[in-house]
Amino acid sequence: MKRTDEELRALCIKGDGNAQNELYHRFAPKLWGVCLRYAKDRMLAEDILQEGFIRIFTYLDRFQNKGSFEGWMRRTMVNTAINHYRKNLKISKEAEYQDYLIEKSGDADALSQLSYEELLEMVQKMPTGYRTVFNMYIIEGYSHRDIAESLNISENTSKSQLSRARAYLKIRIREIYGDER
Amino acid sequence: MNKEFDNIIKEKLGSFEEAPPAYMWGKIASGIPAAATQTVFYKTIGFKIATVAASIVVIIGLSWVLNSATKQNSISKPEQNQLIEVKQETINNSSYNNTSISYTEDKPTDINQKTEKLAPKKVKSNKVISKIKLDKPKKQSHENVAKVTKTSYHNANNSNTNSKVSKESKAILATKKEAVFVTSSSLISNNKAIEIAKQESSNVQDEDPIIVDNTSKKKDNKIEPLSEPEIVATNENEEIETKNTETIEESNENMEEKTIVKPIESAVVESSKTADNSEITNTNEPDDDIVNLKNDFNPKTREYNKYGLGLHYGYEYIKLNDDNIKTHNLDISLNYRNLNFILQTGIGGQYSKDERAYNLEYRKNEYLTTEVRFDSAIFVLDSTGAPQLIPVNPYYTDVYDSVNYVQSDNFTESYYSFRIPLMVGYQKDFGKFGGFIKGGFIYSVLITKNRSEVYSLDESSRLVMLQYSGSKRVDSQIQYVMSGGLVFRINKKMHLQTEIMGKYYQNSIYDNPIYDNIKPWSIEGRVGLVYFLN
Repeated sequence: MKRTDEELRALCIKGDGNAQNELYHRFAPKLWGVCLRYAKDRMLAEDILQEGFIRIFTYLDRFQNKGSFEGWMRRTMVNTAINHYRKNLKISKEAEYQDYLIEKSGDADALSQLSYEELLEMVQKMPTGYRTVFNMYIIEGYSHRDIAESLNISENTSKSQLSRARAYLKIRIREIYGDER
Repeated sequence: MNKEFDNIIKEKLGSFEEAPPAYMWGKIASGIPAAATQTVFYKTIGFKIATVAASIVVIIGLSWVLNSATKQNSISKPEQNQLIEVKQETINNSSYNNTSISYTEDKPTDINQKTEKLAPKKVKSNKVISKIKLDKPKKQSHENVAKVTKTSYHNANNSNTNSKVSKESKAILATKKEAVFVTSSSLISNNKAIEIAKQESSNVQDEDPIIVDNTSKKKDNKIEPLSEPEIVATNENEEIETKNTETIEESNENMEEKTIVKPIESAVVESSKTADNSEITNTNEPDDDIVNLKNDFNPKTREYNKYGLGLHYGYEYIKLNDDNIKTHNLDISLNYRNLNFILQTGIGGQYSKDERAYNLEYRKNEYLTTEVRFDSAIFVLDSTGAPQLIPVNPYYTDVYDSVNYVQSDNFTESYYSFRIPLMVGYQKDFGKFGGFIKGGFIYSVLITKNRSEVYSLDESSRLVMLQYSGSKRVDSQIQYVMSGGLVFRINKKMHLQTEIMGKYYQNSIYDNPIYDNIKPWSIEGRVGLVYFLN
């Protein structure tokens, strides 16, 4: 009989090893995707996943049943990833893409033809600052204000990082599908 | 356009699921802090149940003590006392003596139990001296006053005797049907005495005595009691008949023999007879023939159904193989004592702390260099100069090296428990002092514990593994206890107790997996005050 998330959480708080195992395997695939998006390679993604789950198990009793349990774990994992890279974010040092990119209507069509692996690889190859802001804004849905507070940067920096991340991604797409479209 | 672009990305990346590498769970499981595997005791159902149970025990205990104390006080009120009268009669050739003995007693049931043991001690000629209570007189009870009323009845047929007649005395005597036989081999039925007292107290007259032959026979210079009591006289014809008129063979003029009646709760009855019964005198008697024995004897104080509240502090030294733990205990106890037996329970708190070790492994990125990266470059080669490689859209990336660190240190854990003792014991008093031994168990439940800060990692460090020494602590434990101590009576109600307590821990919170099957033991010194409510 499959136990509910709440039952699993209660057992994990009591230190039940089997429940911890079950909880991990139930949510690890989703959270692993989060880690992959924020890390520049799989090795660092593993570090984030490990640290994030340790934080989850450590602070399980702090979940106040506000929102979904899965959402809470997802936020915990994202915060772990942000903390992981916060010190490494040296946005000012990174070279900036020239804003010469001209928007083209075919970018979205080309994007939709990309496989997950191709898109993930592009994201992972983004500069750290681009990738972090890109993930937080587009995937997680944070506002620029939240991102600015989380990363200790200005909102304008967050916005510029996002636009450059988009430009970076579109250039990559054009490189694959050609500029002639 | 950006919105459409963002939605596609979110759709593709946001819902993606992929199983992480299989070995990841092993790494995560080993890195989960011990704290996450421990039960939060104060949130467990067991703790809540124990708390409720302890509260019930305390409430019932307090109610029991207070109700009992109230009852005890009400019973001891004078108007509720029962009068029990026991009479002894002796006959000689010239007169007979009637000693009516009365005493008050709080609990007739106890008296009955005690007086079943009544037995004559010594027979001397035509006198009966029955020792009803076997205890030696030492100390006068505070609560009960025994009275002796001595009455001498003059022999109507022998008015020349020197006996004095005490007209004022109100001896309660039995009728024929309710004769009380007191001989050396007789037992005084206290129930009978009570019954007689009830039946006859209203209409007994001095002229209606039933005389019981209590005389003894002398045989080979030995005093022997008659085998059966015999009624020898009544006053129906206003005559007193005597059957046995042996003279006193043993002279004991200056000796005053005393017989003590002391039922359970210190009621004392004394009959005092002189050897020369030709004239019965008692210089100690008040004019009203009532002797208040309070002034004459100090029968040993005994504790009956005493209830007390106590406050105890204990310093405990728990012996483990490599870890000696010191604890502080503070208990509020409920004490009950009946005779020499004592019962103790209550509720208390315990505080202890333990030094433990941890091993921490963490990973930290150390900055190495900054690299310049670019996706493409333009190679320029012309005749004017050296060939050039011009990068297109270069960007810089900081390069870090991941370094693992290991840290080992000690930390302190503090434990807070509450506990419920239940012990029985035996106490012997010696004047103001007393000694006792007790045995029982203590059930304690860990309420919470505080852990000193184990480690502090900066934000650039990542926790890899954290291990604690020792096992997972349990939330409850049972201690088997043996103790002995001394009591000093500060006053009637306040007692000072000192105690040495030895404990053996079963299912201890201090169990260490390294030493399987080894249970800790401890020595505790305790001191406390007990206030008896009655």
